[in-house]
Amino acid sequence: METIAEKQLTDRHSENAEFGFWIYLMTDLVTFSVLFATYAVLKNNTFGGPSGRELFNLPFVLGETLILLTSSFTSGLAMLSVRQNKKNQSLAWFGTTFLLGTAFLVMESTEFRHLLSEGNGPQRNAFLSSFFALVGTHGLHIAIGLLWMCVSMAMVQVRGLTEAIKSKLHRLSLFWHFLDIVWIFIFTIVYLLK
Amino acid sequence: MNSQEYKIQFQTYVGGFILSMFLTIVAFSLVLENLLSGNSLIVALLMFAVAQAWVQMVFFLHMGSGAQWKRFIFASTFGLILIVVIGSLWIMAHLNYNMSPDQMNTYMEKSEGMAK
Repeated sequence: METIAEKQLTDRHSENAEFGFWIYLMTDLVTFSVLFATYAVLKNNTFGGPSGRELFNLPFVLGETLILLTSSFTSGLAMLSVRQNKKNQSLAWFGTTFLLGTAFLVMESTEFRHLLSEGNGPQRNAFLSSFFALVGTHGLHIAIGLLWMCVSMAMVQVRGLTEAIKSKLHRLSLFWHFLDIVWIFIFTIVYLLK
Repeated sequence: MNSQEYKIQFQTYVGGFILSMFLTIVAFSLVLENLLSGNSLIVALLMFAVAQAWVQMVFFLHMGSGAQWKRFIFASTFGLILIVVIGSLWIMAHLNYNMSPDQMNTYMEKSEGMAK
């Protein structure tokens, strides 16, 4: 059992870690905003190639968006189970989130492969370079988030829901909601405003 | 966490989820059905995106409650982002306007003595 002093120490640590993680998220937001600005500046520079209107399949991207929104919701439910100390239930919700995240990533790589196979890769023009930089960076974040989620689930399975692990899981869910917010702007600015 | 708190939190998550789904589908149908065009479409879509981000931040990230520093850091970052994004678009639009191919050719003929 933890003593009161130890409990205060972990609470303090958890608060500091959240503060640090929040600063990381905000700097990452600045990174994304620079990529958004680049995209907005270059989106009409197609060098005679096809524009976004001709390239993107909107219903497919809507599917990706709804999957990611749902995964944000299930990661919230997972955190709710964590706070109630329900280990198996939280693993089930994180597992669902993981599957939805993987589905999103598979759909995105299908889209990328389709574009590449038709010769519309990042080397074709400035519009496609900025498109791949922006959407690809988000996809990379999702992939890292999935790896992180895998490791976290293994930790919960082995060590159980200790205070330290709860604090780590809290930051994972912050990261996941953050990626969802970034995707909303990608969906709007890249796909809907093409 | 007692069952009352759990119930409130659960309802918050479900509410946020339904709202975000609704906003996405409305924004999507605006484009698909061509309900608006030009600048009004751009403004409407950006407003939907901001509303959507707000839903995510309030319902999922709980930014309305909790420590003050969260909101403070977010506000500072938001200011930085506005400068970067609006500044880039503004400067690059001017460069584009002042350096259009025609003007470029005139400039090269006059100042550099190079005919086209």
